[in-house]
Amino acid sequence: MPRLSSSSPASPALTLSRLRPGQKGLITALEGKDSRTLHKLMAMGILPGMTIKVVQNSPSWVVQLGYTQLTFDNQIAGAIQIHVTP
Amino acid sequence: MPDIAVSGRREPPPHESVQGARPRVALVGTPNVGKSAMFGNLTGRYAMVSNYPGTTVEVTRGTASINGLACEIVDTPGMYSLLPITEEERVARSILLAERPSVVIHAMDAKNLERSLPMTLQLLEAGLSVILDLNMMDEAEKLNLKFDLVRLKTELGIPAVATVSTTRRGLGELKKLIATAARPAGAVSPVERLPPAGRPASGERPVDYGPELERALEAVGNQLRGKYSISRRAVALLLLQEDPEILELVKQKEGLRAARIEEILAQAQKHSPEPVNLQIAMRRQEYARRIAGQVIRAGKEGRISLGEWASRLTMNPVTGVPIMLVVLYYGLYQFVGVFGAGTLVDLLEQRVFSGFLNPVFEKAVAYLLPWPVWRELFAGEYGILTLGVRYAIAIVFPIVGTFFLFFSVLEDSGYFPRLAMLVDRVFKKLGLNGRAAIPLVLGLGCGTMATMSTRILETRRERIIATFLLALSIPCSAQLGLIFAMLSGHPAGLLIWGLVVGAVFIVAGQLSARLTPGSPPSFYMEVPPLRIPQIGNVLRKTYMRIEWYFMEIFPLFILASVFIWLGRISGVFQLIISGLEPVVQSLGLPKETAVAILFGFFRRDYGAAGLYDLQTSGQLSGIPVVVAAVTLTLFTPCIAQFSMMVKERGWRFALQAIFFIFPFAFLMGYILNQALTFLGVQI
Repeated sequence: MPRLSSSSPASPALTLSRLRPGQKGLITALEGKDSRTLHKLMAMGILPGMTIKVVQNSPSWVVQLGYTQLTFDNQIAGAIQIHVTP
Repeated sequence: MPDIAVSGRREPPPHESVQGARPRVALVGTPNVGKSAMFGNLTGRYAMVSNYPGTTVEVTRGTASINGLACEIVDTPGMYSLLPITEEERVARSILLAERPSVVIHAMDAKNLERSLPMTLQLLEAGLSVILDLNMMDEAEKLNLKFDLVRLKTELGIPAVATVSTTRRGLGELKKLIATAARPAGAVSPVERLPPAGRPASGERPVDYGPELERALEAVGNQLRGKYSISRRAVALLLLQEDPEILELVKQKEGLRAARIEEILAQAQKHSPEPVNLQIAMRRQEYARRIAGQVIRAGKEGRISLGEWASRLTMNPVTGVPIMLVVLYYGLYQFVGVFGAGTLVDLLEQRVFSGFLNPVFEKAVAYLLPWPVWRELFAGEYGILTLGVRYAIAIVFPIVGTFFLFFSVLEDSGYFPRLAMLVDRVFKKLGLNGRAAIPLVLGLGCGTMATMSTRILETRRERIIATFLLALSIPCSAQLGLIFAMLSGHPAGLLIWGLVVGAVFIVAGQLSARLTPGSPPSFYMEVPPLRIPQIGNVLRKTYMRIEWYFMEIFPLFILASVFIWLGRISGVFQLIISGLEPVVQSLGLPKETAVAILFGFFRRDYGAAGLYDLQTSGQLSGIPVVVAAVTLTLFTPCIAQFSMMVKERGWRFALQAIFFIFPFAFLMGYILNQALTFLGVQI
């Protein structure tokens, strides 16, 4: 399983899929079964060190990243590891 | 897929020889940054849409006079980075690297400068001559963002301009920059400007990737002796990011040195504490963040705008689903289905063709050709003029035209990603993702058109599944009309028909999702702000697409007419009909149904009328009505859809699909007849 991480997270891995709408997180790593997906995330600017905010999580995920909104499915949400930030 | 990226070996597109002398200007950027509107501003009306050779990706090209300098402008498909993932990105990269534009305009949504700069850096690393276009400046200003363009230019060492493509703001300055960069004096091809390997100019190495990677880049660069259309540093960077296409190319060009290169790459991967491609992406991002931090001054944040509020309504399932249904109902059903496929088709077919043109064709052909057999090729019930041309212009053109108009609005308003995100979960069950909503819903209107629109799906696997489902289980408007007419007095029959076809759709979807090789689709899209589409841009896109479609589809209809003619004069049709008769009889249907089914495939009104006549004359009633309706629905609607399947997916797939679908349709009819008879169902 390819794993793209900038630093080993100190706390147990928490993926974006655990967040609720309105919550924010700092991306710590990207991890998933499909390296294509990881490339796509990187190209779209989803990278460790960035803050991501959940706008909604159903029927698909919508997140805010800077001035951009992105939508993706559960599988991708599960590939984004984060630290919850206030 | 053959290497078309950087080798330059690919045959140039046919028009290239004609305009070879003109400097080429490429517009690049992510989707939804106003590239097509900017393209329109630059070119005016001289533009054409075509497929990139060997792909189904649309590329728009046009010519323009930029401050007196004749240029060719290419609008490339949306691209997020030089490391391609989708077919669109692969095509965009091929255009940049194989066609070597003199100038590359990197268009971006100004407020997303930080997120867009990593691609600018990649373009610079490749040795391309880049102009930065901070488009949609009005939206950024609404967010109280201020840009220090002078600082941006000096930091990057390239020209930059602020524009608003919808109001043409900044267009004059952009043209001036293009003209300066593309003037023959400055238009040296990127390769010739490249310094020798190992000593890249500072402009081509804006980012320092750290001592480890820099060492690897230099080592790889030193091994690259072949001729490349981009800088050696860019080739080395793509190699380090494990780009399979580039690795293949390097193996071809470097021969024995390739082994040494792969060794260096493997070492670099091994010694790196974290994956190399992530390291590269993060370095670029750091650089982008630093520059954006220096260039952008944020004022106080604006309140949630009206647009953002509306945007949330379209995505929240409670409000979004009703909005989606309204959009699909009015946009697809009412506009494309009822107005395009109904009103306009009737007008053109009845008034223009049946009432006026066809009689003229008949007389002219009768006058010019004394031999009846040849007359039938051009006129008569199935002639090229009276069937082929009529079909293309009177039936397909209105449907396609209204659809392209609807789709251009959907694209330019930014609504499409919102629609896709709402239905994604449902479509995942069929091996598709949210984008497939368009082709499948469209299939209820016209299967031919829908088959073509499967090209908006990202992977070949999804296109195959969608094309197959369209051919098998989605009835087109002609079939639906007939079925409703036949079953209107039989609610039980309509219910059975709905259940059987629905079940086939779901089972076939799930099975093809399991059986088609490839990984299940993942869904990700950028959600652009909702925008009011610009009428001029929508009309221009629609017009270009219709023009392109005509060039592609017209020959298919002519061919269909020729096939029918051949089938009839050679007696093959009679043979097929006598072969089909026992088959339809085994389904409990009268043998005349065979004629209706065969000719219905070539000419939908004939098939529909044929079955309807059988029913009204009392030869078809009770269970056989439902059996006929189910069999006809599962059947591929018409020759046009089959031709489109060949065109989009290839002969092999189209024939395989047909060889499965035709027997399957009859088998389902047979089973249904047996089951209903056994259960003693009264219809």
